[in-house]
This record gives sequence, structure tokens and C-alpha cells, in this order.
Amino acid sequence: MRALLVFALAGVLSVVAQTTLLERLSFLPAAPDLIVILCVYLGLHYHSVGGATGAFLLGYLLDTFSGSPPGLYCLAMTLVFAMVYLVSKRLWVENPVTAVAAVAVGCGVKITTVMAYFALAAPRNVAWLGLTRALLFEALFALVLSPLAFTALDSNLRRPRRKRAHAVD
Amino acid sequence: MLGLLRRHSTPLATVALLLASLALLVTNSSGGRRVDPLGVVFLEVVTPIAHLSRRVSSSLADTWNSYVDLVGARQEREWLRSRVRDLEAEADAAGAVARENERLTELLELRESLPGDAVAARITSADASGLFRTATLNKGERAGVAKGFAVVTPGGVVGKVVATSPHAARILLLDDHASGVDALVRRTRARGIVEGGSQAGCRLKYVKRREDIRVGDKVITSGLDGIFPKGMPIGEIVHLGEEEHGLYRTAEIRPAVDFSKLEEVLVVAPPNREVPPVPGQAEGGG
Repeated sequence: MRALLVFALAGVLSVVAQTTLLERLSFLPAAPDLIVILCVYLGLHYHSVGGATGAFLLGYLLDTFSGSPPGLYCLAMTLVFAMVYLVSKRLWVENPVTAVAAVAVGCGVKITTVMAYFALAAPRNVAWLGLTRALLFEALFALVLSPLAFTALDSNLRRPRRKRAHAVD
Repeated sequence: MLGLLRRHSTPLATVALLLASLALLVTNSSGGRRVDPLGVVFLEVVTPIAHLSRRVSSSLADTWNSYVDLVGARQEREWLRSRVRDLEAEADAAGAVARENERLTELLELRESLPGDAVAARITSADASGLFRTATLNKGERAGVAKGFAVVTPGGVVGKVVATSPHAARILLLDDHASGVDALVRRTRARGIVEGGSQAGCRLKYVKRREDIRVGDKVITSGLDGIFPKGMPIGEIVHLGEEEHGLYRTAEIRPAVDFSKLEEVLVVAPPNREVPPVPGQAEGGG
């Protein structure tokens, strides 16, 4: 229950931050994608139906406020969760570097998904350079912020770091 | 079967959610009816918070922008102050040039009006001791300046040359106690000698008792000492001596020239003597 509340709050705050606070930092070429960090965290530490659903809902939340067709970020974030889940099930020693690496994997999955969607759905209407640039900057900022976000989530969820993360399920 | 499902619940749920996402995306991308079952809920929940956040961020942004503007205004103020200082300095310099031009023009006019030769010179320094009233000129023997020459300005008598070197000269100012100039009271032509060293600056001495002199009378050079041109202003009587006996009267004179503000002067050869030719110039200049 606590995890549900924390993720709900974190998701809302992340979307609010992305849509109101960070967009004011006009010198940044793109706002950091905080939702992907949350999804990676879920994929690392919540190997459960709840974790997968959380990633789906976070993606949906992003869809609601991003102007993308509903389902795009649902798909992307669920894929992020799935990929991180699979990787962390097989090879995982938890430390800050691997956490950032997991975020990098998550960002890669998200970028691939979004670009694949645009390539399939509307290849002629896309400014590929601008899109790639925005996605890369989102990913870069997410990587930079991920240690901080992970620490905040760890402290709020009172989750001691583990050698190997297995289900809350 | 149930155990298998439980064991793989997470992958299965993930696949289900992926399929649901894909279905949602395909449906919404096909251009048909928009399917967005949770969007309304999320909008309702998040929008008030976003609104609040936007207001807070707007306030913060406004505060920040005000701060940035303030810093900009401060920098601009410093720049403007510096600019004002520069312009004031330029204006002062221009004013000084204009005043100097005015003085030199007056000096030139005076030079043309004088009977003898004259050399324009600049005061370079005052008396080193403070006990005497002398000054140094930047022109000397090479410029034709010689001992005993009169030093005047358009305002009046300054003093006379007491020492020279090739490129400089020392002058004894009118208000030094050792100076003496043959003088006349302009109104009555009463004659006397002006000496320095008094409280007012100079003193008119040896005026016959029966002569009519008053406070406010202008005193000029008589030209009889053979040094100063006739009719140059010396000063103004500011106080009459109170001697009740004796042949002569005295009067305090305020000099016509403010010696503390002297800059350019004219060195005038005595009427019966011309400025000697400048060595080198005479041969070269013809």
C-alpha cells in the first residue's frame, strides 16, 4: 500500500514537474524524463504484477499529458519495465553504476519504441533530427538525475539495497 | 495450471499489459474514435496539482526574473555612473581647454597692445618654501626672458623676473615683501610705490598726505620705474592707513591678479629694451 502511494505520488509529481517546473528552464533543450526512472525502479525492485501495472499506468499518465496518442508511452514504459525486469532477473549486482546502466537501458527502450512508432505511423511528418535530439537530451538528463531519484525512492520506501532484487510478489 | 500461472504471473501480466498498450496505441493511431479510458481520471487528478505547481513556478520565475532584472539594472547603473564620470571628465577637459583658449586670447590681445616685445610663458611651480612669493616660468633665456623683465596678465601686474636659466625663469610676485612697483591712483593720478607683504596682499606707500585717495580707487602702474608698461592694473585700495602725522600716507591694496590661479603670463621687456634674439632662431629663421 505504501509503495502504491509513493509511486502514485511520485508519478504525479514527476508529470507535474515535467509539465510545469522543468519547462520553465528554457535553457534546457528538453525536460528530463522522470517517469522512465520510476519505471526502471519498478523493473529493478518490483518483480510483480503490481510493478508491471505501475509501469503501464505511469506510461498512461505520461500519455495523458504529453499529446502522444494514448498507448504510446503505455507501451514504451511497459517495455522498459519488461526489459529491466528481464535483465535484472539474470544478471544483477546492485550498485549506483548498474542503476544508472539500467536507466540507460530503459531510455534506450523508450527511444526505440517512440522512434519505431513514428517511423511506422507518420514517417513523413516527423522532424527526425529534432525528435532524436529531444529524446537523447531527455535520456541524458534522466541518467544524470537517476541516482538522486533512486536515493529518494529508496528512502521513502524504506527499502534496503539488496544484492539481488526479487519479487515483492 | 493455476500454479504455473502464479509462477509466471509477472511475465504474463507484462505481456498482457503490452498487448493492451499496443491495442490502445493502434486504436488511437488509426484515426478513428479515441479510446482513452483513464485519461479523464488522470486529468482530473493531476490538473489541480499542475495548476498549483504552475502558479508556484510562475511566482518563482517572476521572482527570479525580477532578481535578474535587478542585477541588470545594477550593472546598467554602474555603467551609467562610469559613463557619467567619463563624460564629466571630458566636459571638464573641454572646459579647461576653452578657458585656456580664452586666457591665451586675452594674453595675445595684451601682447599686441604692449609697446615692447613680450613672451608668453606658463607658470610651472610656486615658491618651494612658502616664506616668499615667487614662481617659476617655463621660458628662460633661450626664449628671450631676462632678469628685470615685467610679468603681466590681462588682469594686471604679476611681478618681475629675478633669475633666469636657459629654459626657465623665477619671478618675484607683486605681493612678495621685496617687490616694488611705481604706481598711480587712476582717479587722482596720486603717485606712490606698491610693495608686497601686507595682509591684503600689497601696500601703497609714499603717497603725499594732501593727495585724495579713497577706498575703492584703482591703482595702476605709472611706467616710471622702467620695468612695467604704463597703465597696467595693480589692484584696488581696500583700506586707508590711519597715520595722523608725517608726510606720506599708506593704503592696503588687494591685487588685481589672483596669484593662486595664475597659469599663463606675459613676460614683457622694459620699454627701452627689446627681447634679445633667440640663439639659433636668429640664424635659422632669418
